[in-house]
Amino acid sequence: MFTGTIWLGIGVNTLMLASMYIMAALGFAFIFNMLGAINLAHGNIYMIGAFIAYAICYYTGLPNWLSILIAALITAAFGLLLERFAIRPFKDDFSRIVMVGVALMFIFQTSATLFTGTKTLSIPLLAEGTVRIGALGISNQKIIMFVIAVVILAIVLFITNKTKLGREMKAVSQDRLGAALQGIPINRVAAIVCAIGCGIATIAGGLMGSYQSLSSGMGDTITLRILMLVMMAGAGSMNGIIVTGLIMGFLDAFFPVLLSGSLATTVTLFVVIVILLIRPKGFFGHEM
Amino acid sequence: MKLRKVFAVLLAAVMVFAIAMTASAEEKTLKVGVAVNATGWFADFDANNWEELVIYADMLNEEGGLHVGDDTYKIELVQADGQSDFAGMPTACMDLIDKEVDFVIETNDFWMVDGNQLLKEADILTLSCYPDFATGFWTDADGNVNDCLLSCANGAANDIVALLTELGEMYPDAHTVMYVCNADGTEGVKYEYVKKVCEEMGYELLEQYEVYDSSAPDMTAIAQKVAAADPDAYIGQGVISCIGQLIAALQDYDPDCICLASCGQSVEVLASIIGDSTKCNKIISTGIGFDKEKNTELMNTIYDKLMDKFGPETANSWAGNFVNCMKVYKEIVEEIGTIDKDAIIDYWKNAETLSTVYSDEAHLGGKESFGLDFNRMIVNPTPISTLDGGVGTFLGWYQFDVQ
Repeated sequence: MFTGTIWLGIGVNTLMLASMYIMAALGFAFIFNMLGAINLAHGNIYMIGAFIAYAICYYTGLPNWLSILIAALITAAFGLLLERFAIRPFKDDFSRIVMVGVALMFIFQTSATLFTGTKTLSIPLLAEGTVRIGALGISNQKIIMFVIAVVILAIVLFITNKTKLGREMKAVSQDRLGAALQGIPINRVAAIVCAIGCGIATIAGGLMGSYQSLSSGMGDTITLRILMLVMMAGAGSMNGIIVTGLIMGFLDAFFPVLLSGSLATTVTLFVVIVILLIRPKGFFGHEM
Repeated sequence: MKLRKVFAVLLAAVMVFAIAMTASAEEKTLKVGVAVNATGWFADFDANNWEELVIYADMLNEEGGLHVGDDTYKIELVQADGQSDFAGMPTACMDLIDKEVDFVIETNDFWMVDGNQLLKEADILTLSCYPDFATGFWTDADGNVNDCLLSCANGAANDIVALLTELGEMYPDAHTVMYVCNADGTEGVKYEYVKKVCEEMGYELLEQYEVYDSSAPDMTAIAQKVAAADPDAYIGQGVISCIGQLIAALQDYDPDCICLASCGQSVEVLASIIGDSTKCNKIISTGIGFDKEKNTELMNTIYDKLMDKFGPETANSWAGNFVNCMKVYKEIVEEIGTIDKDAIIDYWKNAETLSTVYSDEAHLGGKESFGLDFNRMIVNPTPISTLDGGVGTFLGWYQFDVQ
């Protein structure tokens, strides 16, 4: 059953899924690493951002790529408000921040459902057609999605590793009090990274929304992946997100080929749980 | 004085006569319960059906309602939302029972297995819009045939026969077929039915069949497995968004594989979900097309009203399942002159044909229709469309020979 073509297909899907998962997870990871806050609404920002992109594309006639970009700017601005009013006031109160996240989840999902009714919607493809490598065809859409994701991740890696903002982010994630004593404006840094995270999640959502159909449930699906990805990477590890993203992408590309739908998801979750049991701090993290 | 008395008597007589006429033609209300998934994942199918039914009910009421014997009935629709939840639908049915509906139009069978038991116990007539092989659907809790349940379509069974027939005509060299369906608890039963039909029609159905989760975001893995099995054609049945993604994904692996799509909506909707016109190839679908010359007048009328009220997306998602149930009910009660449940059931059991939304003369199938032990159901014609090179074509209606 696992011919060369199948393995090649799994490889292509791994890269594509991994790139989308990583993009979606970055914002969540930023806030989690820096503030220890779990923003459960983040996955639904990915979803609602995709719907905003669809709405812009459909009602204004703007090109799909521009619609996704504008939607990313809108959700980035929302990210500033989110950090100020939903994360900052509760960042040392785990229960409340979880409740706020859950409430926002429902608000976003209900909004999406009310907007779409029950219609199956999708953002127009970025590119039609297929490139063939032997017996395998690779959609131009997948190629473009992957390239966009690589460019964005490269920019993010540059920011986190080579810029002052990145150094501030690392300092806060390692020792928030110490960073504050050193004069790092924690709230401003948190707001900026939350905005960046929301914007990138929207780009991921918009790209997936053009590859598949939009649904109000896509936020829940990605939230689960984000949580697993970040936990496996470990606290404080931004670069680790890339490695665990690839692991998640592979699990989601490989097991559905081996097993039937629901069983594949269950096995994937089981594998992640086993990994976390073996390495509770994740692969690359430190104690929080 | 005498003349005045005569006029007074005449006037009184006229008034009494008028009152008597009004009383005998008293307008009544027919409460039509509708067990529907208005929200949740199955709302993709049901919500359109509901909107169509609302339009049809309004049309009937504007024409004066149902004229049943000496009475006229205004139609009042009572919606109960199952929320695409198997536990929610029996609750919705209880709600309809509490609201004392006169009969129920219900969604696909696999939602209604438990709900129908409740409706049967409450002695409420139920019209099923689309039977789909659900186990235990046709019988009551004691294993007896549920006589309160009538099926206004023969559902998924139709689609398979129609698709394979068209496959034989368009692609006579195709021989092997693979089955792909959504996970709804009836996969095994559906596979066995498809296998029987394939055997009768001379196709080889592969032992391997694939079941997808309707909430699955990516059908690539299913596509890979279909490509690895290498059938000439595959039947994709269930949720249109998943079928569309499967078609798009499979084109990357096996562009020559023919898709037989049983997903209940037009090829225009299917093409929009696939998204890439270069991947809309070799698709035969049971999707309805909107060629007015090929459709019944009622279909065309409701389609136009959907277009006016909601626009092309909703209009092109026309299904007609609930409207069909209402139409069948109307035809029967206006024919027999009563809304008495037992009289309706008795008429149904003895009728040879009925006028439905899909056909002016649809036949009622015997108990052994299609080799399955179904209760009597209406064998409606099935729409067939093709999608090739990104171009959708509505071929028309496939009419069955009823045994």
